[in-house]
Amino acid sequence: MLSRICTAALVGLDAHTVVVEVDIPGCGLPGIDIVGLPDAGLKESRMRVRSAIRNSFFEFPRTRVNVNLAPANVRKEGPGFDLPLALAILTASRQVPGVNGRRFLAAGELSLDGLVREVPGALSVALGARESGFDFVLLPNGNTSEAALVPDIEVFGVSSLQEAAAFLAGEIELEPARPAKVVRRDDEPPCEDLGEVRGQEPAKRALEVAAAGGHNLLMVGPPGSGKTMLARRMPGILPPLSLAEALEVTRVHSVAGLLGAGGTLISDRPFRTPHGSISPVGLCGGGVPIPRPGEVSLAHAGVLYLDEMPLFQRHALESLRGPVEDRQVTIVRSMVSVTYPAAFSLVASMNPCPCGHLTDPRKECRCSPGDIQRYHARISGPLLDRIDIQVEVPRLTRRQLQERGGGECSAGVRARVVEARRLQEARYGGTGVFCNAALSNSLIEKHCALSPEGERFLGLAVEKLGLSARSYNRVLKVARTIADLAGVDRLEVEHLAEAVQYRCLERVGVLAR
Amino acid sequence: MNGPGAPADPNPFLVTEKSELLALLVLEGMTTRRAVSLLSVYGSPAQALHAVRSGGLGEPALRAFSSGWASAARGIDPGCLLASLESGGTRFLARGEPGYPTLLSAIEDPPLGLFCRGKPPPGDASLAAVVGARKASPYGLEVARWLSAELAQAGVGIVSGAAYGIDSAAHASALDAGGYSCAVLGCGIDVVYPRSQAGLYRRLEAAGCILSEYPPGVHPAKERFPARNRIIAGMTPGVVVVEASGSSGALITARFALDGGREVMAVPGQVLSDNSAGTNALIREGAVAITRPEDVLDALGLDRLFKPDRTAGERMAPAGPEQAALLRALERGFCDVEDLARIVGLSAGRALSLLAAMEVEGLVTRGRGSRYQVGPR
Repeated sequence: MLSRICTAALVGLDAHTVVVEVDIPGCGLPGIDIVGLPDAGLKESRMRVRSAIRNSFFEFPRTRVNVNLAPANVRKEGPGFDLPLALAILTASRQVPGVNGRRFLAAGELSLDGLVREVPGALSVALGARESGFDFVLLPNGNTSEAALVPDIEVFGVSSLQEAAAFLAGEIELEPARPAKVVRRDDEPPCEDLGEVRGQEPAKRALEVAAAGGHNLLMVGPPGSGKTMLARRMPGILPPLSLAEALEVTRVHSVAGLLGAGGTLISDRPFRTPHGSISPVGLCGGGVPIPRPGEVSLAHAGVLYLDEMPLFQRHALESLRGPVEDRQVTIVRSMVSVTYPAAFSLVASMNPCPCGHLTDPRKECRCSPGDIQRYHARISGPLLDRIDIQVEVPRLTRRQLQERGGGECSAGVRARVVEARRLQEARYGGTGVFCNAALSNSLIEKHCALSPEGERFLGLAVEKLGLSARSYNRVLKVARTIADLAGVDRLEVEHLAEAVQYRCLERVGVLAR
Repeated sequence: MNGPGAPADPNPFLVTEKSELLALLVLEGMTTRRAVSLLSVYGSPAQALHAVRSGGLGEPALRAFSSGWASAARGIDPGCLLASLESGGTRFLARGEPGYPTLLSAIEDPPLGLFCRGKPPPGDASLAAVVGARKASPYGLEVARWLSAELAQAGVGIVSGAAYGIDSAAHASALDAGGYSCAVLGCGIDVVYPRSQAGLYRRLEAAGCILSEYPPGVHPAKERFPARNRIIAGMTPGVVVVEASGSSGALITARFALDGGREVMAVPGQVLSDNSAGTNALIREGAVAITRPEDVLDALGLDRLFKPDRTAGERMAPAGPEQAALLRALERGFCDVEDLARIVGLSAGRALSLLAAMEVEGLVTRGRGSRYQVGPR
């Protein structure tokens, strides 16, 4: 006899409904045939399903079992098909009566003893189920707290195949899962506070400006000057995640399988620190058959921190250019094209030279000018161009560390950042731009108008400080943010003056030719 | 001018038998010293070339090269070689020929010939060498630019190497100021080293010149740079060392200048800075301390080029009490933005903004590691 159970296949962040059709013709040699573009992992589910059915005190049909996954032209991957496949076999062999009336969608991995294991992307599965008009979703227990975040659809969690079968047969009742209590930490101080960093006020100020305008930031300084420490405090001064952002972040992490059992809404901004050996695919996403999100997407709405940026592979760094500009990443492969969000703040750090001591007053740098030049050349001009703020982080002496206090806490900085962001949202409402960093040239002309005095100053600064013509617009955008932080509508010379200080790499500093 | 003695009379055949001289100099392993010893034995380049071709060099120092040179020299047509060199835009200047730097003839071991692209310095030109560290500090670069631009405007040509740092800054600002500049290379004239200096090479060929004693194709090597420095020192009546650490190659140039009886000048620097250890030591040993371009003109006896109407280094007044307070703190020796902000009682952002404004006005200079100093001059 024939039976159908619906499940979902993930393509990027979206879940597409897939129907698992099982036909048991009642003849033929025992075994399962699966058609409908299953990947290798899915083919292996034959073994898991057979063992799980036997070990759950059901009988596996002693004849041929034909399985079709519809639609047949979409590639399917992953172990989430185990549970629906087992249920479909049980229904087709009349060991479980069909569920009459209510449409549902099931997903889950089976272990050999019949227990149900978590699957990635449960949040997307629940969202997709709601969109397709299903009545409820049947998921592993460990996935219910994230799936329950989706309103207007019932989510039932099961721990074993037996429990799932009993529930569908109406033998037991289950409580629909409720969204786990989300602890929003708006007013709690973030665990890593800016106030813990002694000194480095100019760098902290640069972090604040970067956070307020959505600018990318590069810190240049000798080892041990506190670049990583500062970067870690960036998420804490960004505005708190909105619910929509938090859902999106959770979804990406869920699809990547990083949410884990019992995972629920991620309410903190992510902070990702990929290692320098990461490949372009690891950074921007990819893989077969369905490309998975890369670090840029995992850092969505948060911070992507590249420590020692020149040590990253050139290809990997270049692959960042797209996501930095588009705030999303589209991965096109021959069979499939997926889009993941990637609206991250890029924070990068580098040493001033290969040995790291070029700007260190205490230690002598042993690098040759050629070495230094090659080191700097590892970051291409186009990428550097996308980093609005470049700031030097000097190494402090012990005495300087002792006499310098921690300064302002993250909460105070965050309040100013939130206010500056609010000003920007009000100003750019309807243009599709949310922050100063994303301003187009026409918007810059409109919102960054200069007084004659400002015009004169900037002209002089470009000439005197050796700024490139390209950096002109960058300086304007950063100056706009600085004015927003001050709550001022007009760009004054003082705002421009501070902004030109944030172009340290471009200036004739390290090597003169 | 604390000038060197009258130039030693060069061998007159160097000019009349220029193509044979060139043929000798392009032989692999030929050095100035070996060529000189050949000439001392055989008299003129043509006769020396003939002897090389016949393969019977008897001098103990040259015997090892005898057979190699003989076959190489037989394959060279001196006239063709010179013509092809010159059709490629490279001039070959034999010692004694007009265009060959006059002062250079006076040193102990002057090159027998120089390869030149661009316009060689005219015989009556006033020249000064401006040399210094490759890894220069912003202070050194600023001083190099200032001195070279002012000297160039006063009509003094700049001679230096073609390295990064002080050398490049000196050439670029002399050319920017519309002056003459000459780079002496430690490799063949067609070899761009360091590679990224190609732009500077082009500018020098257009408005100044590049010189080398090495034939085209010779690669840079460690031992060639000190030899190159002897030419820099030899071409000029005086050498200004702008910034040099204790082990800098610029000190070798200064040593050559001293040995050749030329003026040695040095720009003083901070006593705690490694970058200025060499220059400060030179001053301690008696070099002329240079704090303005006029000092260079004075030391070289070029006071006539002095332009009294120009008021040097008139400092702008700081705008407002905050800037004035920052300047006072800078003069007390604080250089870190944070220290400055704390002393003056400003936020870091405000201090950065004020310092940038002052930098644009030329009141302060920002160095590596965001350290500021009063300046540029």
